[in-house]
Amino acid sequence: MTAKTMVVTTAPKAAVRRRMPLRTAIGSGLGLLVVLTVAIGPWVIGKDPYAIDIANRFAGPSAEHWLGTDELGRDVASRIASGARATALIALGAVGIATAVAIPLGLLTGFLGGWVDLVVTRVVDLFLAIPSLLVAIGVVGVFGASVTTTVLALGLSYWPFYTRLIRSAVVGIRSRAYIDAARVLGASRWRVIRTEILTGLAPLVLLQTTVLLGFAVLDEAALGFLGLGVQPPQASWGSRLAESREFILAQPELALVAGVPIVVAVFAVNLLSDALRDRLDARRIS
Amino acid sequence: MLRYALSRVLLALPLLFGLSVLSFIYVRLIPGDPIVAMLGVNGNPALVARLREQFGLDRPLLSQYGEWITGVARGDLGVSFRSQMPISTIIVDRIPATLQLAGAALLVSLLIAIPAGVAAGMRPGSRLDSLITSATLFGLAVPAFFLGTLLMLVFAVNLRLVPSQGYVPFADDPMQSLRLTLLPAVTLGLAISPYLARLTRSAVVETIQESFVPFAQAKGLTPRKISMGYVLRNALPSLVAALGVTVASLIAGSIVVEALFNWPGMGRLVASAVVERDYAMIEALLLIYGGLFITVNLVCELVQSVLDPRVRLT
Amino acid sequence: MTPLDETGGTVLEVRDLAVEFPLTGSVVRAVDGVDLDVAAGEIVGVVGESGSGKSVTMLALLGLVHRPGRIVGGSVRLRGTELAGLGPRELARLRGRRMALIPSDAGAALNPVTRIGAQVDEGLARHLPELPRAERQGRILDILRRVGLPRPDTQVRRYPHELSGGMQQRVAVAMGVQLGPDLLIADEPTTALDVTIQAQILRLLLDVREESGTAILFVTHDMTAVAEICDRVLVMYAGQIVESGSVAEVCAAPGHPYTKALLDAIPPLGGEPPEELTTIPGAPPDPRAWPVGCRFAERCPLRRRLGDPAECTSVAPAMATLDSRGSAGRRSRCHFPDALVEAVGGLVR
Repeated sequence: MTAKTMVVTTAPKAAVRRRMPLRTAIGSGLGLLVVLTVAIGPWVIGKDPYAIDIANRFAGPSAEHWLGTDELGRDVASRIASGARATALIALGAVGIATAVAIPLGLLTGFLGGWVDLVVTRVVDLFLAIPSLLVAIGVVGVFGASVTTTVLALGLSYWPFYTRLIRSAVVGIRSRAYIDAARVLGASRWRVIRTEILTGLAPLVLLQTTVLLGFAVLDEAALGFLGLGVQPPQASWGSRLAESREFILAQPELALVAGVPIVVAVFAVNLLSDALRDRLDARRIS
Repeated sequence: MLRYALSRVLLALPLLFGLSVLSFIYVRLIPGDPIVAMLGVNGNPALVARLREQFGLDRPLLSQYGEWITGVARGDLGVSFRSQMPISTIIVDRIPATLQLAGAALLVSLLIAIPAGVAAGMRPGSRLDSLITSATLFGLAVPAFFLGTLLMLVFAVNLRLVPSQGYVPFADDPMQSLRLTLLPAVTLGLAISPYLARLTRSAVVETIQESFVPFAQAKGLTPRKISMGYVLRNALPSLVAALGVTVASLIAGSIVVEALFNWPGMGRLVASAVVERDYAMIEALLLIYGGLFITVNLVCELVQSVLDPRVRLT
Repeated sequence: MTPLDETGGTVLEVRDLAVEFPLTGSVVRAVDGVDLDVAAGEIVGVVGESGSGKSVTMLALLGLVHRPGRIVGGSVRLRGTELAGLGPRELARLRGRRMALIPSDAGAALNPVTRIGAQVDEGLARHLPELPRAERQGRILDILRRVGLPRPDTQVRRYPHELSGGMQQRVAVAMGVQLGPDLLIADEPTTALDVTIQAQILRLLLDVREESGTAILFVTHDMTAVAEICDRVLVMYAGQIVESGSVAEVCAAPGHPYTKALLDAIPPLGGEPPEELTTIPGAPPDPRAWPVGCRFAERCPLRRRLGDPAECTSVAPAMATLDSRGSAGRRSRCHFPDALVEAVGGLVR
């Protein structure tokens, strides 16, 4: 090792550590806000998100309606809070599907190699050639827009990229695991390999699910906005955007209010995953 | 060099073939009879017959594919059942609008993301880097339609500086066309900037850690020479690759931004084709967007090989 | 600049140099109180394990310690000019012209996307901007020929990756010596090369010294190379110089147990020089908290032999002149240098 590499690798690492606490604090704070909204939001607000009151449509914020009312006089705050639940479930479901496909496929291809690897890798490359939102839209085209379809569509649009990530990680860990396994005898070899793969993959999976949760919230909203996601009147952050889009010139505030929770939630996820990534990087260096 | 280019093109061909198969199978995956799915049980019998003819669903798959792909090769993408017009005509009509928006957005993004990514990457861990990195994390969290609505509200509705929605072909009225492009292009450009900025930053960070940087400093070269001739010049091939990857976000973003600004481009076809269950159209769009993405990345790879003498060797 | 006659033949004069790298919650003092002098035409070897601070010291001499690391103290004088007081621009003007670097791995240090000729030209264009382009072209071919690059007129149009490792190293040497610097810092210039090419590069360094009287700091792992070309040697351990003296005297009778261990690690005549000196048991101390006493105490065979004297772990040894033997400038950072002499033989494992 020469001094040049030493000097430069010390620099970012040290600086990154200094930045972490603030970022993590803000991320956790916003994240907590979102979790609270999902968990007890509807109960705190205590209003029916589906109760129509045409006489009071487009009302501004008041003690009665914290965030005002929408085009049908429904309480916006309570629609956002109950929409948060739908969106959170969709995001978790979609990431769950992607993970459930990617981990076995990635392990299989990374471990076996050979023609299995070749075929799966080609299919992954093919899917990666289509922008993921387009893949999701394609799935909606087959099954029709609904909550279930949204989960499926997002899950299916994330698996190729995720599979590739897991595969390359497995390939990286595999050779090291084999070396360590060679040092022990018999049945414990498999245990060594298993432990090395699991401990090697766990942080990556944790990081990637976090990152994907953010993407899922954004894409659910995008699908909703395009009228291809959760269908109104059913409440979700995406369908709320679809509803407000009709009045985007007359009542742009509605669309903005509908967008704020998305920004907050995804920003929280991004801050936390970035902090996580730095911690993992730092661990890998040292 | 030529051999390298040829090998890259040959590698892209199976991918394009796979894409065509995928788009082809897609329509045939729809549960039940796709024609009925499109038109309903009581559809116009004449139209049903014509679509059956177009898709040739009663013939063997292989011959269906053969006929379809020959058509595609001749530029015949079939007929949209909604408008009854040839799909290729519809799409070709939409291309100028989409290119105008995408081009302007890419320009906006290059102007913002490249300087920001370079500034952050040159001094990793500095205060400026923290600021820019945090800004990209925030930018990644702001959906394009939210940003677009905000810009529309401020600049079109309140300040009345630009029109809020609409499109005029550039040839008809250049000034008005540009004025109308401004908001959607800034929206889309800002929306993809965080991705591009992050890719740029990591390309630059990787380059400044190369040991030719301290050696260049030891030669007494000026900081300017080092950042231009060494860091940026060596990061350039990675930047080109980053640009290729960014095209995916550009495509996804354009679908949303075109919808928000009533922009009559290809992106609007996507959503409406799905809502209207116009499967021939979805099939064609999958093929075109995928083909576009593959081609752009192929071009980027070739440009990379021109920029990096080491690549040409392999 | 400052007239050079006042300092006689001394090219480089370093006093109490210290470099620190802040980390979270701690500070690494990578270079801690280094003194060194190099005279014109002298080749001084700097040896020590990886992490001993020798490479950081060299970067500090060039003013190239990067954030968050910084030079926290000491003085570096080049031909009498104090470098600590110079701004970044003035330092950059000296680098490449009056003090130059030969990197350890030229393959990685050359700009991969620039042709050889253009790269050699960069230094000339920077430091001699008044020179006409055509004349620079001639000088480039001339210097490449001098370092023994075959067919320089065709090589200048090639990219670094098209050259062999030995040729790349020659190009790097050419870039180092082309402006006739007062001081040449060769940072492990032969580690990446095979043995025959190593010998050629060492020969080249000797030629440079002969021809232009350049002072050379030769950083290496390889005691054999030191014995071959150096006049004096500095041994670094844990951020400090622990021994200095003429190569002949240090090799014949090391004044510090660490030097002794380094010498013992040389394989018998005819064998390959070691890549890393890993044959000394134990590891260097944690740079975030140097030991209070002698930094080598933990691994020191002499200390064990002497029955673990309290001084070793409680009192930091100073760099002391070895009066009993050798010439002036023979110094060691050991509490019991004389005991080492008596113990020679007994320490060999």
